[in-house]
Amino acid sequence: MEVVILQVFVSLMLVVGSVLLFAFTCRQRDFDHADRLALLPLEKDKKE
Amino acid sequence: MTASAEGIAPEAGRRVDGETRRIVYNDSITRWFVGASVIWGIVGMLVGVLAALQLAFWQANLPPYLTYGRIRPLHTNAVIFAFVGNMVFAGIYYSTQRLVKARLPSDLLARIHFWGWQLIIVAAAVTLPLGFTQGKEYAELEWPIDIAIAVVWVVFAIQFFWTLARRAEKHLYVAIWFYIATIVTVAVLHIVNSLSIPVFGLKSYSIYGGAKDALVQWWYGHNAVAFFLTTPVLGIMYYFLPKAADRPVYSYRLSVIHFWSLIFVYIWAGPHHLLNTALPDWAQTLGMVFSVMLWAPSWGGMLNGLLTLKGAWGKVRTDPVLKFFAAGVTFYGMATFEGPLLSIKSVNGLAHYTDWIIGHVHSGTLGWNGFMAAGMFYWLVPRLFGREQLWSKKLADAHFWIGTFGILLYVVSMWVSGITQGLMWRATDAQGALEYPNFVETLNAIRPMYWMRLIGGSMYLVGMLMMAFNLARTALAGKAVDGETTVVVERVEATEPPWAEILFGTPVILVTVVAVLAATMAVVNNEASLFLATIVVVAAILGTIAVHLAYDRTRPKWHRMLEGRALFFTAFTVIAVLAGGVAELVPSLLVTPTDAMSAEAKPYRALELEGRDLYVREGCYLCHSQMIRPFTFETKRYGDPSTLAESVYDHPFQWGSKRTGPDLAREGGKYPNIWHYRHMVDPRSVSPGSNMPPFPYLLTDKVDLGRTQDKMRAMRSVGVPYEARDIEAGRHDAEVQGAEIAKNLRDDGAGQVDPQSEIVALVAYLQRLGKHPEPENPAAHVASLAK
Repeated sequence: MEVVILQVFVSLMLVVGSVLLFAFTCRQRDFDHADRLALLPLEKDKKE
Repeated sequence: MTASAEGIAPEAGRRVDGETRRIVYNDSITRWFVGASVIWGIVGMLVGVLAALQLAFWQANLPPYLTYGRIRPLHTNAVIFAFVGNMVFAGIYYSTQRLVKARLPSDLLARIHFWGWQLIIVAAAVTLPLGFTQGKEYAELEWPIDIAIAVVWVVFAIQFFWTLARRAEKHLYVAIWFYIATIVTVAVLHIVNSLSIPVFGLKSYSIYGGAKDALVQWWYGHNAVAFFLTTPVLGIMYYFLPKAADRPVYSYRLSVIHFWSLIFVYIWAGPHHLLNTALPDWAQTLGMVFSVMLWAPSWGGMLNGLLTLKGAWGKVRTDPVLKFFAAGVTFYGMATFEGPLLSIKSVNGLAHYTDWIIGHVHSGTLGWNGFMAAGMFYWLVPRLFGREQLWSKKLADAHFWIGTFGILLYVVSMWVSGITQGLMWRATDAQGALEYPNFVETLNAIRPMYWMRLIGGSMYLVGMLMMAFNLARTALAGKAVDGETTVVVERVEATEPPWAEILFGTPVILVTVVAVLAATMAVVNNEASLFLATIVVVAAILGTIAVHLAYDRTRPKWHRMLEGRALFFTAFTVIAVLAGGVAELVPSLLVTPTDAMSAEAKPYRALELEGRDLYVREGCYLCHSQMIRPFTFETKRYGDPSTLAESVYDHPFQWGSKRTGPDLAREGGKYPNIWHYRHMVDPRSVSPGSNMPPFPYLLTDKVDLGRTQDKMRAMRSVGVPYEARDIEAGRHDAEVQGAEIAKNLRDDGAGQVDPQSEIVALVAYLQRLGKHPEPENPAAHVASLAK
């Protein structure tokens, strides 16, 4: 297969995929879950 | 910490009551690994400074054990596996216990892991200067040590996954994902690349040869950078940076995208180390395209790290820990900008084989790895020894500035050196002739940069010594303490995990369908492929829209379920990582190189094989490539471009990655034997201005011809077509060829030369490069002598 065609195809797939995944994750709205996980490293040891 | 189980996803089951559990973490293991990392870091960088000195000042070579070719692998192995390796283990053990709220399950395994790893490092420090090497960059260690590495890595994996199995925090924080990817991928990389046939105690031949070996080696080499120097340190960044800044990571969701895109894309990029070589074009193109794509996830991660400091930049001015982290992440961004740039074929044509690559690598290792390690140590050590703060903040600040200036001096000098030499190699006059036909001219032009690099590297080493002193004083002023916490572990009535929903979830089905279509597209002809390509795109778009529309908010989140199941998560990670490796390696390994089976390719004669082993032992491949690229300026200097067939019986391949000296692919017959003899004894006698070390011991040390036939048998077992009579006649043929070369050297004024001396074998090999064997069939030669 012509390399340029392959490259354009792969690039388009990635762009389209990225946009759709972005829309998909925005619609999920489970940010509360991510927010809780993001706080995990901030928990301190008892003696800290 | 209390009530850690708050927020356990409802899909996990029904909560009943809970128990309070006190957890005392195993922080001893973290203290040991921190100490080991600091000590080995200083040793590894000291060796690096010596190597830099040797390149600027050849007299610093101390043959036979401390020549550049032998200590360069010692430097790389020490800083990668000893300095960064121990740092990574320290960071992983400390953060994992806290993130999953579980103590390491086995103190014994922890001790085996620690001491096993240190023994491996000591074994490397002994065997590499002695010349025991497999001749593959960053994978030089011989087969018994390779086995030991695999065993210790499995011990580490058992400890890690066992800890996850005992966790009190169901969901895995993103740092843990990076650790999982590290553990499984490094295991796969190490095992696949290290496969070799042992000949005897500390000698083996890679099962791969020529282009196959090149592809496997740089799939490994590149991903050693990705999965040993990058992913675990990213995990450490995601834990320690928020901790030090006292604020959560800027975007947790970005970290999810960062993780999956990085591990999927990284594994494909290995062939960018082989651009413009004889490697098939499709593999080169894949490597280039995926390398350029790496820009996005790498910078996503970098920005996520830097933006975590949003609102805390004031602290960066006063806190040395945050200074190191901020600079480390910035260097990560710079190195990952430069990497894809260097992977573009035309840029690579200029930069490859030059010091530009050395500068690029060191901006990543010194800036990213070294500074992240320093930041982590400065944060950890006071806490591990019950102290409020470091012994001296000012000394840590001084370390930061001397380290930063050291890196800048190092990197800038290597940029200047690399671009200068790259341009000089390709410079032609009005008639099209090379402007600098003598390679040494280009070397002399960059010598001042080698001294600057030495100064930069030395400054960085001084910074490391300051850190060691500061950390030691901090530790001595305190007392070792193990962190502890209390968690409420809620017993959850287990419900059957929705495996069917996960396995047959719409995202999985969609990805599978698209992958099957794409695979079909790859195997059918062009017209059909174009048609199928359209179907794949349409299927992907429609499928995603369908998934999106059918999304039910009341049902458990797909990725959330995945995060709660470590084993399943690991399986998905393996699939994401292996996709690239399998797609690139399998076709190459299965193909029979028909052109290589032609009369062009002949195995080495016995003495040439011995000479080749000496070439590998001395690390000649670290300064001399054997791969002429299809550029006019290369063919004018070195001869016709290299072909796949020429190296098909090279186990391991010797294409090289750097030209401190000229390419040797067509060295055979360029000079008489006596030239090579004198060049080895005193390089400057025939090549004034050269910085090559002398190898006088080659004249007195003898080749053990008693093992030659074993070597030929081992070679045959990895596919080199030696016939039984070739092997049987191997020793005799080596003696005959040795006698011919020794006589020729005597006739040309070398004096008495032992036909079995190593210099004779090495000359035999060098004269064979790029030439057909003479005579073509050793066995026939012996037969003709008998007549």
